[in-house]
Amino acid sequence: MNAVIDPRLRRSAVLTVAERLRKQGWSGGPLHAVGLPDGTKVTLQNVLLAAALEAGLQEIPTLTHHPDEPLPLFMARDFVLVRPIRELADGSCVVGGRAGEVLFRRGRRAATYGEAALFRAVGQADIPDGAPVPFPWTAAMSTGEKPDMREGRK
Amino acid sequence: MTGTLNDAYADHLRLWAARSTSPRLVDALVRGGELAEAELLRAYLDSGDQWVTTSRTSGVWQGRACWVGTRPPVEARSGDLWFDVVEVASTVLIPRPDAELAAFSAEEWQAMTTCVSWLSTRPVRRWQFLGFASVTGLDPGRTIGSSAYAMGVRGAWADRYAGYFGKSLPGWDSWWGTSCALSDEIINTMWPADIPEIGFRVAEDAMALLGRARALLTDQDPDGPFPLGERFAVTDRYWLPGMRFRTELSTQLGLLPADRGETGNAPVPARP
Repeated sequence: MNAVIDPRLRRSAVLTVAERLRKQGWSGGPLHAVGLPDGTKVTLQNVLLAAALEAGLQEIPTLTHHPDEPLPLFMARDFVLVRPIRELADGSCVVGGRAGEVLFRRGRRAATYGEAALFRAVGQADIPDGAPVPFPWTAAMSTGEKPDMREGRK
Repeated sequence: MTGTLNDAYADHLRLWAARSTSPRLVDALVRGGELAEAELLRAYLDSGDQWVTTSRTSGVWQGRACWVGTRPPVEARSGDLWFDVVEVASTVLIPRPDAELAAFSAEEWQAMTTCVSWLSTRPVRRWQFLGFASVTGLDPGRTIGSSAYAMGVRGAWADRYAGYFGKSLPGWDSWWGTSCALSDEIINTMWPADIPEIGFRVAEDAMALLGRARALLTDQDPDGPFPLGERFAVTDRYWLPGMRFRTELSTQLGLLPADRGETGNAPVPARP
């Protein structure tokens, strides 16, 4: 059985942060995101993003990281994989299941921003066992190969 | 009496931040009944970093090799102790279970360590948390209760406490290693009752809640998920009444640097 977070508690957390943002505006550092080779950005702070949208903020300062950028050590402890990620024969990755090879074992601490986004995303309770990872993850992101991040290229 | 220990511990932390030490804490620990901690801290104040053999004051840990110092030893064997003189807490080096090591790929042998962590041998005491709260300006109010242990804190507070010392909160991996490596007598001393403990962060706004029976399962599949249970997490803005927590030092990550930037976490005290 998958573990879950009560959605009412999460909604309450979003509203609490949104109220603070309405009163005080954006404070602290930028929102951290990871830029994927296909141009997609994945945030590491979903609650903060949801709260900013709830508060109606028009602009959010964002810092976009390369997937291979090393994750600061003080952040690594917050990105622990709770379900394994497996790589199938066709190169695609799935959450849990029994097929394929284990690419990232449970308990692994993220070493890069890309891994942090991946580990956080696959922890979501609504992703069934054996389902594809929530965003395109390529082996290049876990081997240190640097994909060309310029717009329109992969 | 308790207030004296709280205050002495807070002074100890303030002095550490100023690269000094507080002999007053040893006396307060003795008066508070924390004899093992008092003995090991006195050894450090007398002779600095050193290996000692734990005495009868350490209970089930008596007779173990124990490194007394500000940082973990460079070399140690699984089951050795490290008395962290900054947090004033004994930790034990937990090996990864044989089943997990056997499943490692060549890449994992490069990236992972053969031990999981230095896991605290007991949950954080009330005097430790109150001393930390005093130093960092945290106001726990009445939620912490009167137990000898720090109970009823928020998950985020437990996380900040661990981060202050450059450590983390443990997860299922440390407890699996513990259940496979240590005797029932020791495990029952480390985690004597079925009181859930606050574990590591599992989501942006949620911490793991570890149940004893599930966390201590020995027959686990290293290629599967953690034994998560039905509900493992709540948002860290809520109280967690009746729950304890403890710290660990991940052998993969080592002592963590202070996050002086965005999260506003208090800096780690200086560790010479």
